[in-house]
Amino acid sequence: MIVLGCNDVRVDFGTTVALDGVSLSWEEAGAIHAVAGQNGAGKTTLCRVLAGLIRAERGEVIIEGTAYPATAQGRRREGVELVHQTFALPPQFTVAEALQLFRPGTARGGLFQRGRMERRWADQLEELGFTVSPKVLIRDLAPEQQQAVEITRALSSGSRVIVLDEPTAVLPPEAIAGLFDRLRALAAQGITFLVVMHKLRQVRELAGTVAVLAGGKVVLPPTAMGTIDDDEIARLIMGASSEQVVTGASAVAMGLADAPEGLTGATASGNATSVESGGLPGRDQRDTSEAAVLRVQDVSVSSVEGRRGLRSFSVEVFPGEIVGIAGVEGNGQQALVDVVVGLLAPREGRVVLGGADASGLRIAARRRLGLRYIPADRQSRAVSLSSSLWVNAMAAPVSSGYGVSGVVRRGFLSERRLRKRGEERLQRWQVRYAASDQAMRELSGGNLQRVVLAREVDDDARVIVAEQPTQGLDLGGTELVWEALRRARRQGVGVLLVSSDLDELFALSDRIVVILDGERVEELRPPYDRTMLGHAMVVGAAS
Amino acid sequence: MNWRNGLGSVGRSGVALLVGLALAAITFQAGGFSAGGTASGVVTGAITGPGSLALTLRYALPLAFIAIGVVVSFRGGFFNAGAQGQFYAGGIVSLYVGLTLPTSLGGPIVAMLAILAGAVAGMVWSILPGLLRVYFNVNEVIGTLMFSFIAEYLVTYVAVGPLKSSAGAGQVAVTTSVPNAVRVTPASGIGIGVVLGVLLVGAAVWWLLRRTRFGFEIALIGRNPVMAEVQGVEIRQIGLATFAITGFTAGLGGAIEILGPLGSISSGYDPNIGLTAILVALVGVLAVGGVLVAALVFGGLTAASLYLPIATGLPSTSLVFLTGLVSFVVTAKVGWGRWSQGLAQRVRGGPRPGHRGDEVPVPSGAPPDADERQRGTPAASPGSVGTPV
Repeated sequence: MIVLGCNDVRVDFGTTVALDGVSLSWEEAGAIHAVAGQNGAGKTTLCRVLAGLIRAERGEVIIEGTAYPATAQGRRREGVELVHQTFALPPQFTVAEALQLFRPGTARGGLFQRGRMERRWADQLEELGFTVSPKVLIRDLAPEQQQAVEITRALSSGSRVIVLDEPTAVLPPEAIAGLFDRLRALAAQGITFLVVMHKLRQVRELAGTVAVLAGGKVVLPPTAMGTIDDDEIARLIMGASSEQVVTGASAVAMGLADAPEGLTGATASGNATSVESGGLPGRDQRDTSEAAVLRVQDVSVSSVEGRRGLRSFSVEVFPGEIVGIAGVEGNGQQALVDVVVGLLAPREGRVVLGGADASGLRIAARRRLGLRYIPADRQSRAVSLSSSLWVNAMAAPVSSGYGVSGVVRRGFLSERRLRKRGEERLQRWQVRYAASDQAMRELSGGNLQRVVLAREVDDDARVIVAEQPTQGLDLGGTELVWEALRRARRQGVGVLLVSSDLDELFALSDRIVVILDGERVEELRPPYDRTMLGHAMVVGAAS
Repeated sequence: MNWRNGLGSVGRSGVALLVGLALAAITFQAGGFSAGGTASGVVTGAITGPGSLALTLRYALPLAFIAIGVVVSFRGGFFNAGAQGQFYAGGIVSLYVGLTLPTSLGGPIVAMLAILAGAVAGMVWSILPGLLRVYFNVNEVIGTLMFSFIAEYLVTYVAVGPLKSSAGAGQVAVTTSVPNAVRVTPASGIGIGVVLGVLLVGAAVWWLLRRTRFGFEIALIGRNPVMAEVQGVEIRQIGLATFAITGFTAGLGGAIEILGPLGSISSGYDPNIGLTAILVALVGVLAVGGVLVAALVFGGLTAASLYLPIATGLPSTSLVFLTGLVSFVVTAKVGWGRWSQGLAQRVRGGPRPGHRGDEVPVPSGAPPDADERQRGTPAASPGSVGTPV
């Protein structure tokens, strides 16, 4: 009998296909099954479809042998419960109230009987082995306790199948073992778990079978863990993703592979497993006593919901060097960028810019030290869509106070000269525009990124933090950004390149530092090996 | 500002104003009053009647003071809605100083000191909720409005308490009047000094917005606070400064009102000027020139509200209704721009917010306040007014 499964499920979000004809089935009850995949692979969508929380375009869902159409409009399905990635309990309720919500029993004449309710849930929680008082408010609970309440709630519905979406993402490391023990104990009682996880080590520790999704498709049907090794799973997770991410960027890389690259020397072969790269000839003989332009030293940042922190993370960027940061998205890259840029104060550790401790410096001061930032989120972080082009081009120089001598004096500025200065920048980067006072929102994506480059890749730059700099750009745009970063490198700028496009990392990076769960797990040098990188990104350091 | 776009927004403001007036006319007509009579009554009361223009100017001046300062906050995306309270604070403190300092110092000097003290008081009254806003992320609309309520009760306290006039005035408690030597205008409320003061403050704010780094940064914050922060703008400092400026000019308005036409404060004094000034700022498309014109329009409406009951039998509160309608339409006008943007986005086929696929990376680094502001401001978010600066 199929305990849980789906058949030819397709889910669209607007023009994005989240799930594309997904068919999966798990037959062993009382077991723990895992689904792995990169961000955006469709894992959470799958969970929601299985639980009946969202409507599919087509397909069916199978629960304990019964098939249901997956196209029913957002109706909760009996028999299967979902424990969300981020908790969905009302924070101002007590544990007992949250559990009781929408459940029959203990209410008489529409009124709750607090005492009875609390006793009932105290028993239930204890039975499941959770040490949580039913009288405590949800918001006062530790993450693992909230999760315990969620699991209790899911089980109290009588469901025998529980779907857990990234249950370890919100837990502190020391709580993970406890969760795993609990799940194993419950599985032994006949509960079937489907667990979404992206860390292979945890999949191996917990699950009996693993299935892999990539780009909304099944690339590995449920397979017993004993019959497949980590490298193979990692290759499926990463390999498929690189095909998916092989966008314009990679095509350019491949096209450029034949062209003599001269100084930059960055080449990327079409061979999917081994890609050569390199910086300046003789890079390995770089004088390491030379001061790093950027030094991130033992930085720790706490994890918060939606953003993983860092654990004693260190990385150095030397002049004339591009250091790539590789990792499955959501492993601390955001925190790293924010700490370097100055948007986030680390709990421990420091950031040194060109020899000066910048940890306590505000963004403007860091920019005056030559720090530049090309954000991934262009529309909200990089540009102001309703402001004019020249304002966008001159925003950081004016606000942070560099490169505007003769235009801004003691806080007074000449709008005319400022605009002229902005136009010079725009023209140097060949931004196509009708008038420099037209609104930013009128520009296309590639043209918009040119404005960002015009502002961030200037003569005063010493360190450039480039975050997904070619995401969503076409061939020409990608080429432009790559050339800009390479030119900056030639001029002695240090670049910290955070990218989820492996081909981009291979094509540009002199070194690649791998980040996993907020930790630095590996540093790779050319020639790069895709399998090795994939392994490091998902499993950790090669032992 | 691109002059053509600028003209466009001024035009839209004008249209909004006319639509509001037309709606009011229809309502008055339906209520049994003559719309035509009302219209001519407004014109007579505001412009053509004997002394009407003077009255219009008298009401326009304090409005202009306040609205010019409101422009600064609104351009920065800080919805400082407490001009009323800042106006009160300025009035109370200037009255106190005007009554306390000996006139032997010289009337004009006392007046200057009193005005300055009033302006600083308004500034303090604005900075307090400003601090709550920038350090504790307390919604500035609520904070500033709360401070307005506090100031309102302070007015009553002052009138019935410490500064109460022994002469009394029947049912209403009134404070002692400032000596004539300290008054900045006669009871008519019009003085060349006050007119020059408005122009001076207007010029200063215009210059601040267009010719300083500070003004550049205000515009950046108002349009995209997240981007502004990444560029190195100190959002807290700049935000506080906008609160200070708005409070300063509102306090100035209060001081001049008390030291000018009124001379004293009575309990229950409620000129409803703070919210009208916000309206003036919006109708004036958050530009200093536009605000000066809008202040005259609304000053005229206030003047007409005194005349209308005599001319047409309309209750004087009908003008409250009228300004309410106009504010409704003007606010809707601000919404029009937003709506059309949203429409354009939909036509382009971009993803709609709130309808994302799963696991789409969500920018998490945006400071919560910025995000909050983009979603949470009332419809009249100043960021969407006007054109690229």
